[in-house]
Amino acid sequence: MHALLEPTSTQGLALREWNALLQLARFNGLAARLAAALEASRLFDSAPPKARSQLRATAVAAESAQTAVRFEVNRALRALKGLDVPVILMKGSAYVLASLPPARGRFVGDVDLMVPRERIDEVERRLVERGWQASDLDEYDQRYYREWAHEIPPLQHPERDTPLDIHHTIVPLTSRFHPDAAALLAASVPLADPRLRVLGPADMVLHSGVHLFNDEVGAPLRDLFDLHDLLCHFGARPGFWNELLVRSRLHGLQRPLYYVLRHTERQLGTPIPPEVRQAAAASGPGLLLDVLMDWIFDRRFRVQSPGGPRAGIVLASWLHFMRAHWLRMPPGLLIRHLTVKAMRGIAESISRKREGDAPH
Amino acid sequence: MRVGDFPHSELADRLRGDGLHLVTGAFTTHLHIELPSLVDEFAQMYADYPVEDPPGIDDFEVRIASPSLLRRHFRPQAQAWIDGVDLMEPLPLDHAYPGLESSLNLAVATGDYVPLVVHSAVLERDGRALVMPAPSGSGKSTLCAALAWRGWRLLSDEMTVFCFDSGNVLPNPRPVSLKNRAVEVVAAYAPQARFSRVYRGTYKGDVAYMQPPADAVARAHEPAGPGLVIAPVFRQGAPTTVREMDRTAGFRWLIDNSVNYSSLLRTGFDLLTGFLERCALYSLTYSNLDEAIEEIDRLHQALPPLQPR
Repeated sequence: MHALLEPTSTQGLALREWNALLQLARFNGLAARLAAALEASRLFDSAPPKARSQLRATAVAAESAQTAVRFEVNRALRALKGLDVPVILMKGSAYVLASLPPARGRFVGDVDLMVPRERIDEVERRLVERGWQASDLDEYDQRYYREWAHEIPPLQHPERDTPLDIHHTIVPLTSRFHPDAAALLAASVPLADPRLRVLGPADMVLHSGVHLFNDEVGAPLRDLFDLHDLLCHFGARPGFWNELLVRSRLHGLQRPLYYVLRHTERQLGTPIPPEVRQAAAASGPGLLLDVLMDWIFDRRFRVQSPGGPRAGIVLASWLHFMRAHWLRMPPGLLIRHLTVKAMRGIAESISRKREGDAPH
Repeated sequence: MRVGDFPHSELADRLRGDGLHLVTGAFTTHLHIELPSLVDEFAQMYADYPVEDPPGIDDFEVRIASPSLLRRHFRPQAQAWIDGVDLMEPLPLDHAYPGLESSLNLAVATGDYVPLVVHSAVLERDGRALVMPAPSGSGKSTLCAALAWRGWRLLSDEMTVFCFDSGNVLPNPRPVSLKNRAVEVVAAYAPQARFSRVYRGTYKGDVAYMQPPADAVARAHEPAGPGLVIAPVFRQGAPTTVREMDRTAGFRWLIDNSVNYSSLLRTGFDLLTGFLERCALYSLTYSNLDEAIEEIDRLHQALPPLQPR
């Protein structure tokens, strides 16, 4: 973490320390970012040859994935020609196409788009007509996406490797939170190519934050670095911090914003103006819950090592998983969802066991 | 320090404990082996290989052990973990060594931090590479093993690794896997070659491994520049025929056999085209090994001198 924030600290590292640094960076999805950080501080060439070769390959792979993302967006736009529907890029694909700082050395595996909910069927139909295919899902998963989620089942073009996720808002419909999708759309910003838009700065931070703190997927530390980059970048713009507080109230996302500000500052030293921190703290949890949440998130954002997590981290991950689901759906639905998933897990492990025991 | 320099008990202790940092040319593998029978086979096949001690920067971590306590005693199995992930199904304990070799290949194929890799045999002579991309079953390993005893230095029978910076081929010499009848063919051809035992009924058929010549292991840090690209086709009874291959077809042939070309986009394209521009390309149909090798030597002699870029 130190090496990423302060690349000069890599100078004088012993080979074995480089080994540990590279291994951890890879395991936490931050290797290409490390390469970019070293490059930016002109320290890349002073790294040991083996480190250079590994970092170079990672950087090339990340860069190529970004090219693939740009191409997929280009293909999608071509397919949607004539529909006249606003297309808002989100997360990784937004950082890449809007050339925002988190794109530097970031591996982006898919394209996330948002379109107005009333247009989503039309968009899906058009993409399927033009060759995209939905992944093969069973009835339960179909229903999960269509009725409860904030997106339709992922589409992918058979000739390419980049999945396309189409959303109509930023949190699941069943979630405890109800951000204003129309306001997200209205405040979105066009890119140089006017057919594309990204969320406004404050909404982008809130979306990234709600995804990181209320979901259990993704690479937590990398996603925290995304937020760090966004806050450093937009934080310099006049009016941004006030806008962030205003939008968090509008969308009812004050609590996630509190966690964003607390943990970017706590883990990565992101500069947050004191008055903004104070204003957000009014929406923080009570003392006891605050201590518990710190305990959970401190472990979630700890650099994970391939040796496997320690007991504390396992417990924290489990608590986070339960909390993420708790926030995502009401209790009745949650029990049903977890039961279906558990039964399916058991059935799969039995059938795998049978195959595994078959004579070779 | 080489693997063969360790007393057997110390080697076994290391492999079970902190692991051994095994250098196979371009790649260093942090290797753990917890199966005593596999330690013996490994020690035999890798005796000449250098060990990094003290360790530096590893490329992969490979661990071979029992999948579970139960499997240590009841129908014992071997399981491989590559960088902590069990990518392959467990194998019967008797196939642990082929499992180790497959894991070392898979580690390269699945790592997203390795240079450009093409599935291909590659050898070197006078600093020039001979790249033979071909799918499994085309007889490339047999031809490659034979060439390794006829004046060519073995770089790898499985993968051609291109360095991003220089565009040259990096060696990764490892034991050569020979399937079914190929073992007898190569043993008859090169009586000095040393082989592992034959592993019967693996998913690739009956497999044995040939130790690379000592010279190939000792010079595993020396890269090779552009030279020949030859697509070998073994056909029973066919006369030896050489055909020039045009560059576009050669390029296709290489990317069709590449492991990670498609994920490298522009960089991969520039690297491969840059290499191919300085190579002579042929396809070679043969049934007689001696004639095939004679033909390859002739093509090598006819190469124009390498121009500096």
